Amino acid sequence: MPEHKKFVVIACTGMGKILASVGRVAAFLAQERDPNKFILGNLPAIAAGIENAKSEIEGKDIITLTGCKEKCPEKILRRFSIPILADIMISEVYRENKTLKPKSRSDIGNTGLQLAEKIVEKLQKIIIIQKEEKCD
Amino acid sequence: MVIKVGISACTGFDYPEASITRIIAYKVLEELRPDETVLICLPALAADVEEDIEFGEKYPVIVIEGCNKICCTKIFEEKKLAHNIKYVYNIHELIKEYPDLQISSSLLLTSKPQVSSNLEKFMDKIAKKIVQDIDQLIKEANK
Repeated sequence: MPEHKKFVVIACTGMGKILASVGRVAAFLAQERDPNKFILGNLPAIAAGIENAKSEIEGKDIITLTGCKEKCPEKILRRFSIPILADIMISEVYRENKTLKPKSRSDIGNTGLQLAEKIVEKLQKIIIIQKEEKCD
Repeated sequence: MVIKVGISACTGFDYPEASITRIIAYKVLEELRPDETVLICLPALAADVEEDIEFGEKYPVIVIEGCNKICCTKIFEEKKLAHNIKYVYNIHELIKEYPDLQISSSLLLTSKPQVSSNLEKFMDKIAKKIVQDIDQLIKEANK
């Protein structure tokens, strides 16, 4: 059986911003929904220099979920010279789905969960595009 | 200067304890001591976001680690701010003292998951201990 190519999802997982909490949930949902396609990268462990957190993602295609304008995933991964395949800016997903206002940073609520689902859809689209490009 | 206490918590993905850590931190920051605390967001600190670095320099810090990787402490060390860490809680270790607690991986799925009453009691207990530390740190700073 050929091994499925897996994509690494790295959410910012920040605690200060509501959209960061949504991104965290989206990453979990993507991995739970499709464990053959997605694995999770652990940003704080990478930032802390935990060796297997880095080695687990090395050489894999990485998709980041960015929670705010500070773009912490990009800054941290750049420091370790880890390339990013694609980024989803959660504020843009929210702009496209204005009715899905999350409740709070500590409890994103049902609308936050629905917004997280929209992010999962974006992740799946990125994978489809990647596969199509590879076939061309 | 108004003294606040910085709270920095594990934001990891590997264990359900990371979600417990997060819930405890929010409990302290939003419910129990909202006026006395500031959040030091771990990825932001690691990414050198000015506000988080400033809080880490300016205030005493309580760290809530999710596991023995102690990422929070390591990131504070890397930023040369570890001297401001006054108390460290390691949820992975603390939870071992409560063998009856059911820790499910479903805890990872939402930012505010449904938890058992035992786990809720555990989290309340830790949050109250952290509050005592906060009050003590503020008292000492105001002496």
